[in-house]
Amino acid sequence: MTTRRVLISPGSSSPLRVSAGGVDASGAQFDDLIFDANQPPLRVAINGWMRVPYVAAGDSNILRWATGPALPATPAGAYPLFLLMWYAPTADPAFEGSYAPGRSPYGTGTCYSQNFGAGGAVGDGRFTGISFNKQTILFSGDPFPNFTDQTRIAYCIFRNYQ
Amino acid sequence: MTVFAIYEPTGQITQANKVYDPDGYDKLLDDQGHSYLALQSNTLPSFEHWYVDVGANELAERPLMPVEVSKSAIKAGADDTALITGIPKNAKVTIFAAGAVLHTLDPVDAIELEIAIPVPCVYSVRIELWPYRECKLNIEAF
Repeated sequence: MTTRRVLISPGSSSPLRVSAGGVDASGAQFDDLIFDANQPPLRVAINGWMRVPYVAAGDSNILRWATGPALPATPAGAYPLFLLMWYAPTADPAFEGSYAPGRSPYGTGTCYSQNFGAGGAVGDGRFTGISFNKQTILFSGDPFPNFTDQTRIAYCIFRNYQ
Repeated sequence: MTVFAIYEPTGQITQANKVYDPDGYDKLLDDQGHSYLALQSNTLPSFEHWYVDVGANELAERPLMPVEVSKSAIKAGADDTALITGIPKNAKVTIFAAGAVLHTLDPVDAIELEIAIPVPCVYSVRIELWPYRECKLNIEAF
């Protein structure tokens, strides 16, 4: 087993400051290593969900989007970050009439050579939710009728505080 | 905790946000032209169960449809049928099976729907009318 030893040393080139310099991290006490608040901490600012129009089969657009939550201003040089999950209606009888929680924001369908999913972006003072459905075959019927409700995106947005 | 439910003129909630530092957030929403309801709550209202009663300016539960079905399993290819009653006027009805929409009635011009199925399979019937909760029934033909 390889042991890596890290010496925590404060210095002008490091953005981090520690409570005690020159400490070997492999055997140090936590109190000797704890960082102070030199860097603005990220904290949860908003968590929630939003709806985005679903891209139906045969839609000439492969993307749909909707305006999401307004974002609070961040300190100069800092930007809000976000994590998200995609909530989608499911055909699984175990989740009948409900949304399957915690899906990744991307999926593929072997049928119809399809890629679909949802995502988002932060910019212009707001979060924008995006739903996409890339199909290599266009067809008149909707093979995923359970998706006729809107796609729902769940997110957690962080921001810097100073 | 302050939750902001943003809604359309019909009262449909399009997004719900739990804001951890809510000071000034209402002004941000005003500046962006959103209609919203601010609530003191630790949970986010789900779209499936809640909407905003715009007249009363408060959160309200979406009512259940008074829909009933006579049976959920019928014999395929026979005279057997399932009768769905209590469908609200002007509701949209979608019937699908095996991953494809078979019929869309928008709006359905009746308050009852009788379904016969020629081959063994499971038909799903979805009934929608705002602000009712979406109703979905499965009818299996064997």
